[in-house]
Amino acid sequence: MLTIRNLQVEYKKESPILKGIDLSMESGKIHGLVGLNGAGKTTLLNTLYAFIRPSEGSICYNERTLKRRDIAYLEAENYFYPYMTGREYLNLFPAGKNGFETDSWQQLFHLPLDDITENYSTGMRKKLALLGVLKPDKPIVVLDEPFNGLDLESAHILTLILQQLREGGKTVLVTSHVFETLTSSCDQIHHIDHGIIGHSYSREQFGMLQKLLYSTIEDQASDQIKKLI
Amino acid sequence: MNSAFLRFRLRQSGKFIREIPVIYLVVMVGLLLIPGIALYQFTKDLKGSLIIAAILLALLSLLQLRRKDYRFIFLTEENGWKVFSMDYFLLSLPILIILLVNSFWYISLAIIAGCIGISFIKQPFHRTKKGMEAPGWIPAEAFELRAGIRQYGGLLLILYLSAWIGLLLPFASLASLWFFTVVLSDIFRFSEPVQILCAQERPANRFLHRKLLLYLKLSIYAIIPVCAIYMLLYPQHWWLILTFLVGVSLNIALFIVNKYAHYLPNTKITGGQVPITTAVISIFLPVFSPVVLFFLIKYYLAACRNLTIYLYAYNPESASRI
Repeated sequence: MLTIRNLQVEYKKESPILKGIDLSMESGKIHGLVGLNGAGKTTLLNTLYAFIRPSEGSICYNERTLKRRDIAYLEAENYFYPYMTGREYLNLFPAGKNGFETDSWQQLFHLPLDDITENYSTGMRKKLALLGVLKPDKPIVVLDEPFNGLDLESAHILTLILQQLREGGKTVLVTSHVFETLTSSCDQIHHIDHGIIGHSYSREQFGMLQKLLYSTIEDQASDQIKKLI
Repeated sequence: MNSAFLRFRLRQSGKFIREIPVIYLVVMVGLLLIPGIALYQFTKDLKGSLIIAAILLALLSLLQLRRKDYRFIFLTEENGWKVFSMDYFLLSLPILIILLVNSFWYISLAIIAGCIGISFIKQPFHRTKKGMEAPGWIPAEAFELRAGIRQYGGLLLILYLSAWIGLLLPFASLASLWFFTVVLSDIFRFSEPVQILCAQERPANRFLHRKLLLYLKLSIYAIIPVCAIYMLLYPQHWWLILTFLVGVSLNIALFIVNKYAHYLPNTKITGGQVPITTAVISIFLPVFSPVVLFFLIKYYLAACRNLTIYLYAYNPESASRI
């Protein structure tokens, strides 16, 4: 169980980004995180991975303080070192207990691992970064916008991978701007709004969350759009 | 034409000039006067003017073929050639003025026509060449070297071979090895993504020590055989070899600590040029070695501090996350 208690993060004094996140995430489940731009999704993920030190609160995993060693984190933007091949990139990550086989993954994702990453497409880069995250076999997997840039086949393969991670008892946290990608794979979706978790929705409540999100957006934007177009 | 581009270019130039400290600006203007006067003298006759015009147009053509904003300009401006020709006109302006002063107005016109013509050259879509393959025995952790061999492999190989061939003459091998280390300085100018930095899960100081040890080992492995043979051939130069090895080790360590002192994920490192230049020169002038040592210690401490920002989560004492 990953437990977040009263997590507060501020970049500047008196302008907090996360204003007291309280969240419990069960192991062996896929958790989605949705929120509008600037709601604090990436800040929360960066804090989980200890890129950012919180000003208040605690993060525990199985009743002990969460360590970065427990987490694998896929960032939304993936950068690769110049003139490095995909294989070299993967070789930098220590293999976990899952017996990661580079060549088998290459066959699944059709990656030109012996070519330099400058010649990779956006989707290939995403897949390579994803393999770097899967290789160390961490108990918590945090994926920020993993579906970005993936083609239909790879997106579906990713959904299957997420399900397999769930079967393996891992705690998976995924964000996506495409709501449907979350509803098709998540067991629970947490709605973050202005730095706090508004509510957590189980699978049967996803429709309610979708209505809530879309109605909020429509309330805010439909009049403006009518004026503009 | 999209006048926003012209305003933007002028703003860019203004910003570039404003950011240069006044003293450097004065020195730069002084230094630029020398090629300016030389150019003025050279373009006094028709032959010289034609040569300069041809060189200028050739350089502008190369720029057109390699410029990175080629596609972006077509996204923002339907007639991209107008933006390109404006850029080339601005770049040619100093030479145009010199040619006009020398009364070669028709060559100036030809350059302007050339700028417009070059703007229509289409940039081919090209893949980045993979370059030379790095030997398998170089560990994955030395990714800077592996990537560097891909970029500068041919040059490194020529320098290394010339170091061996240069054993026939005194000092020649050492000069080649010196060039070899100068090229090595360039391979540490990119910051890796945080994911790579964190892959080893080590605290800052242990990460840095491992990196230093790895690269010192690799460079010494490459350099020692040449130095050993050199010592056998020219035993009277033993002190030179010793100084050279110390100098090279200091330099390589400085390249690494400089990288991590200025590390910012996913960026090109531009800081620390003065210490690196001093280090490179110090091989010839060992009197600078204490200065290099000073920079090495200073940047080592800075690198530890900087890396701690990213690697603090691996410190044994950081049990608490707050």
